[in-house]
This record gives sequence, C-alpha cells and structure tokens, in this order.
Amino acid sequence: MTGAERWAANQSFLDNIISQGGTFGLVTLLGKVREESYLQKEIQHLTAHGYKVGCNGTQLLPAG
Amino acid sequence: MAIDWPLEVVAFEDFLKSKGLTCQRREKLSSFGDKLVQFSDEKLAVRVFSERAVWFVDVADAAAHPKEWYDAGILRDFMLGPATGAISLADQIKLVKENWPVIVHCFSAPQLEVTRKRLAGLEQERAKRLFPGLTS
Repeated sequence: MTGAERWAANQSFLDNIISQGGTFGLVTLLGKVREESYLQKEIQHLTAHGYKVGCNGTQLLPAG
Repeated sequence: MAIDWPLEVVAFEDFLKSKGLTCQRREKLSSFGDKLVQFSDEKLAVRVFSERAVWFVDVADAAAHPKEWYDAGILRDFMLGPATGAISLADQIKLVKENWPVIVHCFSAPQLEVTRKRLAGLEQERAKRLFPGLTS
C-alpha cells in the first residue's frame, strides 16, 4: 500500500466517525506530535472539520 | 523470520555501538509492519522506528526520563535553530551522528533540566505552528 493509499484509507475511517459526530482519544501531547507524521495529518484533518481539544487535552471533540 | 531493515539504520546501529550503547530492542511491531530498534547506555537512549512506514529517530535521557523521547525535528530546532518540514531518515541519522557530542553534553546531568525546558518550549512552539486553532 502506498502512502497515498494508506492516507486515503485512514481518511475514510476518520470521515466515517466524523459523520457520526464521534470523538477521538488523544494519547499524545500536541507538542510530541512529529512533523509530517500520520498523527499530524489526522489531527489537522479533524480540526479542519471543526474538532477542538477537550477533556484536559485527552480528546478531540466535534464542534458544537 | 528475518526482518529487512534500511541500510541507514544498520549503519547507524554500528555508530551507536561504537559510542558504547547496546541494543535493547530490535523488533517488528505488530501493526502496519512497522519496526523499532532501540539502543541505550546509562545516560542516553536512541530509538529508530517506523510509524505506518514513516521513519523517525528519537533521543531520550535514559537515566531520569527514559520515556520522554525527543524527535529529530525538535533536536534540529534545539541544536541548529528553528526550521520546518520533514527530515528524511538519512538526514535524521546524520543530524544525530554529526551532533553526537552536543547531544551527550546537553543530556548530561548538569545540563539536563535546562535542555528539557528548552525542548519543551520548542515542542510548544511547534504545536502552535502545526495546530494553530488547538493551542493557547
């Protein structure tokens, strides 16, 4: 699986949960997220969909 | 079953051995076919691992904070000044090898708390840059 294919599958998984208004656990401190990592892409994808950090930085919660 | 490792990693293992570090872990991880190799001595720990096929090099203070890893991007900012963008595996390894005396010095006991404070600040700056809407 190429990087693009891997990210497409990952994004599809995220989008499915986003469409249900789901929350995501955040087990890595934002400061520890490596540049150009999949985790960086995932968090940026979620924030682009209005997600915010909540629960003392341990979850990403949908807008509203 | 034998595990294929990038040649850069194999050569880097030889470098770490030459500095007196010993291999603690060398294994294929359960998810996504990722791999991890970790070396340490009583002061420093270095790990090279792939996360969903993307390779990273981390350094930690093995004595007091062995689970507090700092990635090559943050070490680059710390030692060479702020920069942005991904670093290839080869360049991450090159960064650590070429700056090994600096890393050893900065993670030594007398320097450690100053180093940790500065690295934490750099991590926060990076988080603000990467996730401007999420950090205060």
